[in-house]
Amino acid sequence: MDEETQLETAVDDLEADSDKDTEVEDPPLSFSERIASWNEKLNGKFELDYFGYFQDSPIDPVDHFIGSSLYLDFSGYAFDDFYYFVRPRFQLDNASRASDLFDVIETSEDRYYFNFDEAYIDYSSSKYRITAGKQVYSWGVSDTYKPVENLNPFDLVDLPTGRKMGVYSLGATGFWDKFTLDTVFVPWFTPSRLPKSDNRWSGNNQSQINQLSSLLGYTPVLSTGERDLPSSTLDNVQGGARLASSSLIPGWDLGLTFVQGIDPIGALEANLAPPPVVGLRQVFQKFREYGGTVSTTYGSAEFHTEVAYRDTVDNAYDDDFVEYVGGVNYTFYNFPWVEQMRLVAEYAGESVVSSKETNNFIVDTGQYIRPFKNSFLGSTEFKFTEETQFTLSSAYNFNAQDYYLQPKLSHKFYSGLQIEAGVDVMEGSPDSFFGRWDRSDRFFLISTYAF
Amino acid sequence: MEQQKKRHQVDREETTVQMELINRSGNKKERTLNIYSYRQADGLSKGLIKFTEPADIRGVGLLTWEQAADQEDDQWIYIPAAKRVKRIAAGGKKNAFMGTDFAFEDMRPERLDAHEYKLAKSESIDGHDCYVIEAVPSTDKEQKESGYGKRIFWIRKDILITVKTEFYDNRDRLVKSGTSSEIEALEGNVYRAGRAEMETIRSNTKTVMITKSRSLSPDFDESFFTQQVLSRRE
Repeated sequence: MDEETQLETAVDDLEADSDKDTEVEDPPLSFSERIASWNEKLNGKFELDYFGYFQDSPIDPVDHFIGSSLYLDFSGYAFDDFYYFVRPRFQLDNASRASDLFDVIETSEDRYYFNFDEAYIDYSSSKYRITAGKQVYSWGVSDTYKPVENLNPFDLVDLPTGRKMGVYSLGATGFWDKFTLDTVFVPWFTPSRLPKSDNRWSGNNQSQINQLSSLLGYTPVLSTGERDLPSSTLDNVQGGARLASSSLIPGWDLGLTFVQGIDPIGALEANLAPPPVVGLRQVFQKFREYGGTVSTTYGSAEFHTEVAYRDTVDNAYDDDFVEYVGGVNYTFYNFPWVEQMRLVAEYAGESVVSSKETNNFIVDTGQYIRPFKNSFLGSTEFKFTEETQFTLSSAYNFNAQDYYLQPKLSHKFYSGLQIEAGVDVMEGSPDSFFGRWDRSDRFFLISTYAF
Repeated sequence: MEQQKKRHQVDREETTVQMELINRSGNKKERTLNIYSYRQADGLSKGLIKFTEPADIRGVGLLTWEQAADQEDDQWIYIPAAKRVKRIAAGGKKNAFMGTDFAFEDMRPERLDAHEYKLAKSESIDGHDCYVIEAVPSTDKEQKESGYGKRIFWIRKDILITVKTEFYDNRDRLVKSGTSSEIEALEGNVYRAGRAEMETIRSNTKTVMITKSRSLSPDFDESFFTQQVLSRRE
């Protein structure tokens, strides 16, 4: 009997033999047990940051910043089908960036010693999902700047390490054959946390001074710090929706987004006092934003684009504009001396649709929002091993020729400890976006221990 | 090969695996992951991998939707730190899966329509007679994208399970060697290996995958393999 015939016979024997002993399997896990098995104990991470600035600042006495953050993750199931996730955050530093104890809605300009990054419950089925609590949303597809992401404010107290802040919200998601519809309802406004006037990341105010000088005919002395926070009323409720599909066109992720909200960074309204003093008050303008996202791959490359049209509502605190980002994410394998090299290259731009005039002096809405009007954004990551990599991140604004560079080396130790070391460099003319922080170039060392 | 695939493939499978990554110095790193797979009516698969340990990669997930032979698979990664799902290019299937000695293509079901198979000889391994079968890419796409010019399988004649595989590059050099052991019979005459080892010859590194638990009849359906489940919190 030749070998191929033997093979066929062996297969026939197996098919005919239905009396083989089989091991008794454990009963299958339920959906909730399966998700719960992903986290069975207390988890979290501890981060220790050191920033050493190369130059003194006339407004900030801290040249060597040391800060620590502890995040704890609690998650599990209650009443069988309700999943909960709570991440408390504890922060402490030597520059009093954290100086408030706790607040339910994070409206303080200072960080809190204790608060929650996220805290929500989640009820899911195969057809829908409902979440309620403090949450962070990620709808964008770009790697750097994401115009469609407007539901969460940012903590920009330390600009290069800015992070999203959770918002108390109710979310509902419906799943159909080819589509997913996310809806979000945010009843309470949370402003972005901006650097205070004694923080070197508040910048040099030069662009504001320039604008006001040309309007007033004299060089003003700025008085800052006042904020006009929106009240918690029904007409200040925010919300958004996203319709997404990954199978309408095979191989493509498509999304349409809509957000009706209040800009968490806002604009600066100038209030004239006896010269030369000018008070700058932060006001928060309403907007509607219509957006779209596309992502696809070809070979080793991933291509993506985001477009968002922002329409300021009922007031003239800001222009109506379209902002867009398009880019590619490409991984080179078998690169000399490295396991892989990943390249991210994006172009971000803006087109003003309608310039608004106002009776108030509105200055510098582009200080933190609308930063990339004609810009290159990118990074190159060299992965030497699974533990060690070097990343060079950069941003360049073609209009003012200002730029940001961050070379960074990171290494993971077997114990779960990761160390990142690098430099943040911002250069440009004093009234440019990055140039206003050119006295804040620094060395950083960030240690993270995950448990 | 068709009979092997037909014999051992199942519609749904859920496995908890402990991975040991051993470098050339003998240092060991451990990872734990859950692997879920689902076979659609058209024969294409969907897969979801979720890392549960160690802490620094806990919650990282990979979702794959297999596409037809002439199309790119859809693949997404979930990054918990950014709470972000990102589509990634699956074109790097020849490359290492999460720093292990297994390539992405090693973790996928065998693409019978993209290879030619030849029965080379018989050989005995650990007292079991085996068919020795050579596989070479048969399509331009597979030749371009696969990291292997040739693979050799040792398949036990009695239960049609692969117990050893050798992987050769396009210059016919042996690059990796894999073995499967602790074979166990599960329901319906389906067999699975409780332990799989992959060794990379040049770098002298090894990855061991040990099955901690397995179910061939989990209660999930195709709706489990979505970006929403991929991004479920760790």
